[in-house]
Amino acid sequence: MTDARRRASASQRGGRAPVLFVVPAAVAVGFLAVPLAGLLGRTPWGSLAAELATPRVLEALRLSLVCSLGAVAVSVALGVPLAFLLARVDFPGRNLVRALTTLPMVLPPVVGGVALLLAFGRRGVAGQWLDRAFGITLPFTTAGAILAEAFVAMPFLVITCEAGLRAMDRRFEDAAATLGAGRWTTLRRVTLPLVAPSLWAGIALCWARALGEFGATITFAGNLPGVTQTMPLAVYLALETDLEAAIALSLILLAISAAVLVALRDRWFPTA
Amino acid sequence: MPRSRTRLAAVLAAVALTLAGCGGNDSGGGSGAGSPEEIKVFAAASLTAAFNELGPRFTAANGGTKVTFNFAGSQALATQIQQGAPADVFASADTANMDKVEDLVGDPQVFASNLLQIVVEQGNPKAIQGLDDLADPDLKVVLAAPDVPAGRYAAEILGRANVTVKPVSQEDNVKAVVTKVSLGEADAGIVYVTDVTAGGGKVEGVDIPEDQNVVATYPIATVKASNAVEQAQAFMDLVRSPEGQQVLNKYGFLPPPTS
Amino acid sequence: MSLEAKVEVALGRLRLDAELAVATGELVVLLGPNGAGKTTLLRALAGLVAPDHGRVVLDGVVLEDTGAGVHVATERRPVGFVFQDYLLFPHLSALENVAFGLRARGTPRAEARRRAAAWLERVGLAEHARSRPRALSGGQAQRVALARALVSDPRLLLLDEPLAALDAASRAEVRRDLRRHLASFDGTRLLVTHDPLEAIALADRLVVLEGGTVTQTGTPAEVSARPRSRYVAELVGVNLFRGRATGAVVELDGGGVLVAAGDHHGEVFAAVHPHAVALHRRAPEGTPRNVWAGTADTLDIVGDRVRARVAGPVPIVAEVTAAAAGELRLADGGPVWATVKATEVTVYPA
Repeated sequence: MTDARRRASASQRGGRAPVLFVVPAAVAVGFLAVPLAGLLGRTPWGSLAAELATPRVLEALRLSLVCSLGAVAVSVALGVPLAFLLARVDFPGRNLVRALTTLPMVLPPVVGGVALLLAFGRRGVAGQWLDRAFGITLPFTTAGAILAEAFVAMPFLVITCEAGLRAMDRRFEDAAATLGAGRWTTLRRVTLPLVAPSLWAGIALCWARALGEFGATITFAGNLPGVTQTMPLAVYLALETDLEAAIALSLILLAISAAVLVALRDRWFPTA
Repeated sequence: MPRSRTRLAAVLAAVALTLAGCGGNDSGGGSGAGSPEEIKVFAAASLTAAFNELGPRFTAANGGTKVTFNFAGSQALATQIQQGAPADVFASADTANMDKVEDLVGDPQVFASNLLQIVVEQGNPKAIQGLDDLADPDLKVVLAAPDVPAGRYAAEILGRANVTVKPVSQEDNVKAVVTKVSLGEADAGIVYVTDVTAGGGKVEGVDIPEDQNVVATYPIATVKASNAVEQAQAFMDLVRSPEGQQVLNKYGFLPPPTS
Repeated sequence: MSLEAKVEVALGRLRLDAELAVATGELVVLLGPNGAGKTTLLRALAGLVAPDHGRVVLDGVVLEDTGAGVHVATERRPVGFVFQDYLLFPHLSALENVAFGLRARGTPRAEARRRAAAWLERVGLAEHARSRPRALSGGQAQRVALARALVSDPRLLLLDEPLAALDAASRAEVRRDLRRHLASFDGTRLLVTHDPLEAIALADRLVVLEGGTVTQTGTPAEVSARPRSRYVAELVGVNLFRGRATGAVVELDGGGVLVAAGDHHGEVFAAVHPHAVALHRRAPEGTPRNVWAGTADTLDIVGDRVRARVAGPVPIVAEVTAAAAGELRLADGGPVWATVKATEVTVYPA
């Protein structure tokens, strides 16, 4: 094959790699892959099963699942209606509300934890009232951990849902109306099924974020095995004394994150 | 297979392998820190105030050599040193954590001791008189985590006093315990006497009887892998000197136990 | 049983102000260029758009009356709507799509499916009952959309450009099918299109909507014979002029004069079919009352005919055979004489 033809056929297939980009791209891959390789390389595969069965690890795992799923439930209950309003209703201050919803995404989690303390701590703005009126305090409780995780994870759900709702062709709802469907029926049988892919993607992201949450949890909810010591906290503490346990826990978190990515691959990496 | 694609894959693989090769070695060797112009001191959280005062004094007396501190729970610092973190000096709140790194440091010397105290909010709103009160299930008590020196000391104290406490949280360094109490989130905690002093007007202390209290011993050592060993030794000497002892004393530390 | 509607809607740049009546049994086609407001009018009749002013009465029931504050919600109107791109619910099968209207109105699932299956049978799609909309061809999707709209026995059937989404090849066949299905529907029917062929093929009566207002109504024959706007004239392919008539002479608005047979007075339209225009290379003699000289510019080939636009005192399009065009050497340009017999000029009040 002549050079010219090779060049031509390569560009047909999608282009030769511009040499200028190859090196930085390779560094990027290395940057992302090496830490993961390091984790896998240092895993004590032999004693892994034993590590994973220790009470501490199982406790942290159970708590993480309970809290992250609780955070997802809170996020769905509050976030989906919010997404609807943001997508469909032009209310005064909508842009402000949208900015507010995305704030936890850019806020450093520890800052989020501090903010939660100032709001819902025993002396907090809302926390005081909760304590006086209902005797409810949130710090140091599992509910507090769920709140902290919901705080950082809900924005992912809201943003994804809102995007899905906006992308939907609203004329399907018109069609449903002409067929006699009231608003609730339309929502149930047309709108929600049509935005279901976005909804699931949002839930997956929300769950993954909640599962990995550390800074806000340790600052606001505290750290007590069985009550508030979720897996990320357990990893952090184990790191200081028991590296093997830390690695085992990290591996679990890594596996879950990978599973979420695989489940979402069609959404994030659509293949033509 | 198209030549350009194999070439690309080969380059990516090569770079990835190179970077992996450059990765850390795992036996805690690591490279030391600090050009002779600067040294890094890893010190237990309870030493924060005292060492922050000693730092500038050291710089002034040692031809401008800067000191940067890494304050954290001693257990965290020990692990970091094991993993090869660049430290020149290590000051621990207990001998156990110093023993953890005994192969990596020079001869440790005890330079101070500390007693523990119950810390409560200013004004003692819950009227806590002693260790027995901490067993009250309605009280929110925060302790340092069991692996943190302060946590281990607290467990020992509670054991001696025969009191069972269910903490609502286990913080990973002793300063965090003080924070939770001063914020009003927790009602009480067990910390060092020096922490209560450092906590200023927000907290006050309730004494623990001498027969139940524990004397925390603080060893200090230079790190072998340091490349500023002279300066490291100089810092260690300052801490143990009368001047250093005076500063420590000011913050509530007691002299090293004579035994 | 019928539909009476008067609707005014301002939407973006469109100012729709249309009045419309459809008798039962009559298939009215709403014809107009894009942007005329046809879809908006349909949506207003369905209740999807609330008019600024208006009144809609179907079979004696008031669906809309802005004056009295009445607006019956879309889902309560006995209206069936076939959308331009069908809008079949992609997550439901063809059967479930057709059954949707029944289930939404409370019919139990089993019965709804039974009736839906019967309708699919009627439109010849029984074997596609389980298919998803994306697996159906354009013509099949259109039939499902029709069945879906009809299954709940609406009193008013609205169709928005039902053939637009089809390719030219399937269009003729689907149009025939559609005509058949529409014929067997006994409620009021209103269909929207921009395709004149469709309009003429399906309509009992045409309503022409341009720029938000109705410019003309009548049977296809009436409308073609007497176009009242440039748009219709161009659709029909007729030369249309406006002018002032005194007796047999019409003074055209754009200048020039046409002589017609008959006696007319006042503002009039004058229509001349292109095939009634004769072209000559030399000044003709003879009976035609309308003669003038001009130059032939634009030439269009339409089948085995040639349409030539002749610029002159009265700009006009003439249609001649290709042979004649060749003989006259029209393509070379140059002066040409156009003649129109007075009897070929149709004049009617504007």
